[in-house]
Amino acid sequence: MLFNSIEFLLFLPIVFIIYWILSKKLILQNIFLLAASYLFYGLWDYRFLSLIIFSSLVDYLIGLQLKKQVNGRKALLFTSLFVNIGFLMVFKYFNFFIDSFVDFCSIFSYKPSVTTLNIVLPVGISFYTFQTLSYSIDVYRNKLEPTKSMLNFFTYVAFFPQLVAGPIERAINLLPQIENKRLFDYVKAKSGMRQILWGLFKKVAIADSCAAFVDPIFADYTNFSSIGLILGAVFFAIQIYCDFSGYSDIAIGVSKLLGIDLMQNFSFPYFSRDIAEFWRRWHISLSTWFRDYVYIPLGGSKVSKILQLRNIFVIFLVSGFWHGANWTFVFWGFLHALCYIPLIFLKRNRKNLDVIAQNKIFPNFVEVIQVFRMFVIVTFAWVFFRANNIQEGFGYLEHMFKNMFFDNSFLNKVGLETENLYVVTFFIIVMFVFEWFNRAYSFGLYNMPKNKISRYVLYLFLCLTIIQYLSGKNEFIYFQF
Amino acid sequence: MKKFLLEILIFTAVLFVVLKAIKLMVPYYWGNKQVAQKMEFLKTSNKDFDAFFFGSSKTYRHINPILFESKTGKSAFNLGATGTFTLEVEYLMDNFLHTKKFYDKKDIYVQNITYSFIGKKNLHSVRSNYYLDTKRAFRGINYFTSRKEYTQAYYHLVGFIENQLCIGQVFDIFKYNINGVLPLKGIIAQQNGFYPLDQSLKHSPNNKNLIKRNTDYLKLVEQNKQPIKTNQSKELKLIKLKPIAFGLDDYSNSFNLWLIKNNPISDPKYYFDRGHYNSLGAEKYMEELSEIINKRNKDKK
Repeated sequence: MLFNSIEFLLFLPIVFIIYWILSKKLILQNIFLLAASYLFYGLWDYRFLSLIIFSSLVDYLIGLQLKKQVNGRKALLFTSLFVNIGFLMVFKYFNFFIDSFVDFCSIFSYKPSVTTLNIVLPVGISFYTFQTLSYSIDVYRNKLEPTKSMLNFFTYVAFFPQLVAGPIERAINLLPQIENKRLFDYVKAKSGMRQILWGLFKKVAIADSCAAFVDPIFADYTNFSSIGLILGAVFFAIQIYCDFSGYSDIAIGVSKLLGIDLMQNFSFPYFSRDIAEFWRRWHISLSTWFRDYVYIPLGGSKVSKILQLRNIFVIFLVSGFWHGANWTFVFWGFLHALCYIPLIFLKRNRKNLDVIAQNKIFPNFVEVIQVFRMFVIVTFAWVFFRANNIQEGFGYLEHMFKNMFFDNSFLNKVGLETENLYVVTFFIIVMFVFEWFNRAYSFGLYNMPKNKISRYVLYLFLCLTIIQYLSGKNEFIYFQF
Repeated sequence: MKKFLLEILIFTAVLFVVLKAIKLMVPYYWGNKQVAQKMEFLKTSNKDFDAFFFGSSKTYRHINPILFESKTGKSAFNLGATGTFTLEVEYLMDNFLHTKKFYDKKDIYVQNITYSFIGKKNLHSVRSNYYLDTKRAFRGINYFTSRKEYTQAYYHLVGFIENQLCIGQVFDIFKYNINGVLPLKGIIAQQNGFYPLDQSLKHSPNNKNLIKRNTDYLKLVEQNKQPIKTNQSKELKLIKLKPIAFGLDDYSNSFNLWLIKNNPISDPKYYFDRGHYNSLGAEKYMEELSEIINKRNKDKK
């Protein structure tokens, strides 16, 4: 089920009402939450529910055994790693490895006879496997007491708001909330509604509208002039942000309605002043996951310069690879690593820890230049992320500088009218203005006008815009990662 | 909790009222551009027509009102449009007959086709849901449920909800209000709403879709060396009804029911593609049709 669908519009109020009716009996509430989560996932493809159930069962049992056993704990942890990463390897990366192997052999003029499998990528597999993995690792490290309740653990893994696209929530934060009685909180619920509204606005009004430009431009980039290609790249940068952060906002907002707090996943990354700050603000649940379970175990920054260099490359390349089974994602990670390394060696990676233009309305000139520079770098890297292969990414950039003429003929080529461009640009401006004034908070609609009428007019505007674009036709980009 | 639910309910109610108000800004036919052009033409036209034809492209491309008038003596207007759904035809006709200017005076001919499916790719489009009011939606849901076509029943339910909530319609409604529709002019206006496909291709020689449909058909004829069985034999039936009975299901037991069953034209030279006649075929069809109608009128007298 998609968040931006009619089905979800009916599903959410029903779940909300029954969930709170059952609030007196925690066990019943959790049974219902689990059933609702499985229904939410099963409506996409019920066959893959077995994967979630199996993955949950394995880590639940391993968690209990890790607590009981003194010897053989490492073997138990490896079992969890083997099962979860094994699922990922089979469902997400199998064909990629086979194809890459064939390509590698062809360098030596050898053509091995291999077959690829027609595998469907289960939605959200990258998210929930990382979630179950973190549970086993935390229990292994004695940072977390394993839960005895199978129901609670299964509900933690399958919790529907964040099941298919995160945030990748740690058991240490989410599990205690599932184990304990939740109380309805008016302020939290209201904030949740606002965050859902904001997330939907970003997803359906901006991301999907940008996609209408981006898709035809990337599909036929050789026939576009510079202005079209620049617009394609910039709109993709905005599309992917609004798509993914919009989804996270909806997930966090829905959780708030259910009395559960999820971690902040995006913190206005395009207001970052350098790439290190960008990564502290972009997909926080994933970057902190890699930091805690990959970077720090490798020694982090407390090793020699050479090893630090290795660690940074590892974390960025693995992060790229996590996004998809294609070399373009690895290359995207590589580009980010290249931009990050100078900051590490100049010891400037922790320079911008505060919010930009703190306690001020507008940034100063230097900050504007820094933000612009960072956006340009990130947008260039996104071109490779979006391209079908690395050559295509370079081709796109080459054409961007080759066909240096500026006209609006690209609008005819993408089959859209000037007014579509104006409308989406207006929405983007609205979004950035709201996010700018809420940059010290958790989402773009956190602080609202004090005047009740202006507040409700704004809600109405957002609702009408969402209603205009809400069709459920477009899947969330991050579903397949 | 109560306060929260109350606030949500009040806001939802306000939103719903606003959406209803937005919907009132446009006429009932706004979702179908071809029909809208024709309706606006009728609204401003001084001509008083005796008969109206409703239907899909089979009506739009085949029924020549000028020829009809010359054969039957009754002036007519073609309100057919391409890709029109059965329930959409019913909705348009229903509302048309409730318009004061047209009520209870005219002969109405409706293309009798079985309920059309909403294709998956069209599911969320305005064009396939703007006509799904309560009456039409429940008729569609009942019809498809009784035939165990549950996906179609579900699609009709989704379309109904989307239409009630104006999903995907808000900007189009504002645009319709600002820009209106292009006036019906030229040959379509001169021919009282009739526009055969070969004429359409003549006026838009670069229309790839039309070229493909025509060449595909000609290729098929060439390969088979014989008349091609067209898929429209059922769909060329026409019902004539008095403007009292509304709804296709009601017609079967209604009065003044005229079914014109035969579609005797099978020679490929009369066709533009597998489903439509060309001008020549339309002419022949109108001759046959007028003959039957005249005969019926005579018998009735």
